[in-house]
Parts: sequence; C-alpha cells; structure tokens
Amino acid sequence: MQAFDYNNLFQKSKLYIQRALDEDREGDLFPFWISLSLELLARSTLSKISPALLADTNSNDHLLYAFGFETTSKPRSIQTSEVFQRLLKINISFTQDDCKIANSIVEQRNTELHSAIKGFIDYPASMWIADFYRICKILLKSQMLTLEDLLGKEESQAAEMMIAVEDNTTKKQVIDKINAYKKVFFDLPIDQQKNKIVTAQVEIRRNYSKAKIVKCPACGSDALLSGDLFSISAAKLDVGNIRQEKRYIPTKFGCVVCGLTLTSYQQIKITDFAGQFTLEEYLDPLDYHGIDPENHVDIDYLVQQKIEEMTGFGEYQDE
Amino acid sequence: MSIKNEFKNIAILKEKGFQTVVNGSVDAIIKQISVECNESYEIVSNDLTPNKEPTNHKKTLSTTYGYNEFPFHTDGAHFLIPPRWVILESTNTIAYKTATVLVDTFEFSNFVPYDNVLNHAIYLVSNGNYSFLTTIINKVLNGKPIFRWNPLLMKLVSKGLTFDLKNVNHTPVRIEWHPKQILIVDNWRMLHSREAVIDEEKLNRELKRYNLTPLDTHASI
Repeated sequence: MQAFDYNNLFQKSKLYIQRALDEDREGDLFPFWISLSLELLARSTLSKISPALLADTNSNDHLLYAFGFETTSKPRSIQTSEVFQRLLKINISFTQDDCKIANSIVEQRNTELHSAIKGFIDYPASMWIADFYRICKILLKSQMLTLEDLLGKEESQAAEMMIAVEDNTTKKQVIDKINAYKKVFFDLPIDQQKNKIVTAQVEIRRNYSKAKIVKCPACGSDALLSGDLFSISAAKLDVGNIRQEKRYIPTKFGCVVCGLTLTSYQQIKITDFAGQFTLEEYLDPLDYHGIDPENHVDIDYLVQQKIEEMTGFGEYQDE
Repeated sequence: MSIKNEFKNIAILKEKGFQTVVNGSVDAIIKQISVECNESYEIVSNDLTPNKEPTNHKKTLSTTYGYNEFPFHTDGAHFLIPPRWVILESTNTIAYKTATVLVDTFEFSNFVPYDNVLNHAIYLVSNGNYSFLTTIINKVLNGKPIFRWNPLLMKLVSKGLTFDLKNVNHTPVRIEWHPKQILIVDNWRMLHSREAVIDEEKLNRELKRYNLTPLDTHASI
C-alpha cells in the first residue's frame, strides 16, 4: 500500500511545497507546485485516518491493496475532487467554501497540464494563496501537525501572517456590515421594527427544522443559521421517539428581520456562532425500520371502521 | 576498572539515550523495557564481526568500510519504522578497545540554523523493494520524533544542504567493551559508529546485536 501510504504522501507534499517556495512567487511554477502539494496533503489527510479512504471503489483490488494485500492490478486511487468531497464529510472544519477553493486550484493545474489554455491566468495565486495556507492549516491540524511542519519556520510565519491579515480584513468587513444593518434597523420607527419581528416569525417557523435559531448580532432578533452537514449520529430511542443528531459546520446566516446575511464560515466565525452546531431530527418509526403497515394490519377493515366512526353508521342503524 | 552498572529501569536510558550494563541479562532488560514502555517488540538478533575488506556487492556499512571507522548512523534506517532500541552485547570474556561511539542528537536537534536540514530536507530511502521519502527527524510515522540517518542509504531529493555532523556541536561518547558488557541504545535518538578496528581485534571482536522494533508503531512511548 505504498501508493496510499500516509508518510509518503505527506513527505511528497512537503517536497512539492519546497519546490514551489524555491520558485519565483509570481512565476508559472509557483502555483503549479502548490497545486500538487495541496492534492497530496489532502490525500495524506485521508490516509492518516485510513489508506482505504483513498482506494478507487470501482474494483475490490484497490481496496485490498489499501489494506496491504498483494493484487494483480495497478493500485488506483479516487479522483482529487472526490478526495475533497470525502474531507467535507469528516469532522475537520473543512467547509464547502474550502472545497470550492481547493477544487479551483486543482482545476487550474489540470487546465495547465491537459489543455492548450494556460492555467492560473484567470485565477492567479495572489487571489487564493492566503486561502491555500488556511486550508493547509486545517488539513495539518487534523494530522496533529502545524504549518511549520509543512513549510519550515520562516515560511510558516509568513503564511500565518497572511492568514491573519485575511482574517482581519474579513473581520473588519463583517463588523462593518453588522454595524450598518444595526443602524438601519434601529433607525426605523418602533412600530415598523415590531412589525418586521412579527412577520419574520412565520419565516423562522417554516425553516426551524432545517436551521438553528440564533440571535442576530445586528438587531438581536431570532435569525437562522445553517451549514454544511458533516455527520449524522446513530438513531437513539428518546422517550418513545427515535431521535437523530445532524452535525453541521455553520456556513450561512440570515436574519429575516434586519436582512443581515453572512455567507461563509470565514465570515460566521467572526460572530459567536463559530462552533459546529447540531440539529435534532425525530424519525418516523415506520420509515426508520422500513415497516409497511399493510403487512401487519387489514387496511380495508380500518378504513371501514373509520367510516363508521365518522358517519355514525354502525350495527345499531341496521336494527 | 570495576563497573557495577545494573539495569533497574529506563530512567537512565530516557535521560542519556543509552546505558551500559555489566553482567546483566538481555532477556530481563528487554522485558523491563517492554513493561515500562507498554510495548511489544519484534526482536531480531545477529552477530557482528568485523569484515576483512570492503566489497562492492552489498550496500552495508560493514561491506563498505571493512575494518575502517564507520560513519555515524542509526540502525535499520532502511526500514519505515527503524528499531526503537538497539542492544549490543559482548558475549566474550575479553575486553575490546575498539569502541562503539555514541552521539546524542538531542544536542543539536533544536539547533535552529539546522532546522531545515533535520526537519525539512527530504531524503529518498532506497530499500530494494520498498523506497520511501522521509526527513531526518520524522514526526509523522509514530507521533514521536524518529531520528534516522545512514549516508549510504539516504539520498537528498530536495534542494539545500545535506546532514553533516561537522556542522553541529556534539560530544561523542566512547564505549569500550568490557567482558559481558551490554549497551542499550535509543536508536530513535542516538547516532552511533564503530572506531577503526585495531589489529589485535580484527579476528576476535564479536558482539551480539538485538534490534527491538515496536509491533504497534503507534503505541505511546
């Protein structure tokens, strides 16, 4: 299982990032090596959990290879886009936004390699390098490593600074946005404010099962927080009901009252709702156990009984 | 010189990275280490005797350097997980002046200017049927840093300087061999070498080596 081996994937990622850092930061090869390094780091993250997570599922041979068995066919792993999809499903704070960024970087590399079009022209490294370092930090954290382990001391300090600047910029934008919505809402006449709060309750009730209700940081009203689902708990029996927990990373916030919206984890983490959240769902026992009632009761008899209850037609009238 | 070293626990090993014992039992030492580290080991033993002349057909220190001084190295560097402990035992009743020399890598593993060489330079380790990439100090294999160095087997594949003991401060410790002496070495921490074999010992210097490799490479140590 050498091809899926965690150590090799991580060390190769490290080798490629060093090649990137040796290049001119505005040159063609800098983003190219970075994209290769990102793919390998993502793969190493899955392999750290189990090399089997990298095995192409089209053939059992690849899975057997991942478990160390000798196979006759060449080991094949899943596509990079599938690697990112799987990372979304494990609990490492890797969000849909991160997935999109990571896929975009890899797509540019594929454009460069497999087409006549030059990659990284429309999406230059300057646009995503801070996000790249931030994603690396997430992936490394899940491997119990730091940016320094990947980049070395000096480069990791620079990377941390870029992440912090990006965070600070986002932080300022979010705080400004919250303050702007706060001002607009509280400048409204009181009756209009009350009216908006009442109207919003309808919308909140309609969506409460799909989102968490939180207090809006601008107007203080009930607002909705939704996110990327990353895991579902086993079903538990709770006082006669079957309960399941769905765990989310928050990626969308919306307040129907004042209109404030936040559309990424990066923005939401500035507020108080940064942690993962859980929504409870109560399952229909028939659906959960796959029970078809017709297999157990006589529906025609029940229908007849119901009709008799409702119409009052029973044996008495037959007398 | 009277030596009364006894192996009671791994406290000295942890502190110094090695310990010498006289008239001890290798079996009892392995058992004690295993209990204290909460680990089981695969144990491979073999006899070490000086090779006459360098040969070309096998890439080992012994065939490459013959009776000459060996370069500093760690044992089993070609294995993904090298032996955690190396135990050398002189089974003979005579002393040897040809010393085993130890260097503690803790002396320089935190030497900042050498951080890139030890923690970030990538080497390809060729092992015939299994090659792999590693840094000299590898933290990702086991969670605990493993210091690995064998200049014969490790080829630098990233840019930059390769490891050279001359570039770092270190204090070699010479271990001459007393009859029935045992030397226990933390092979994930200590570099070792053998001095050039003196003439009188070319035919009779014989040590038994036990390599102890954790069976569960992720056990806590």
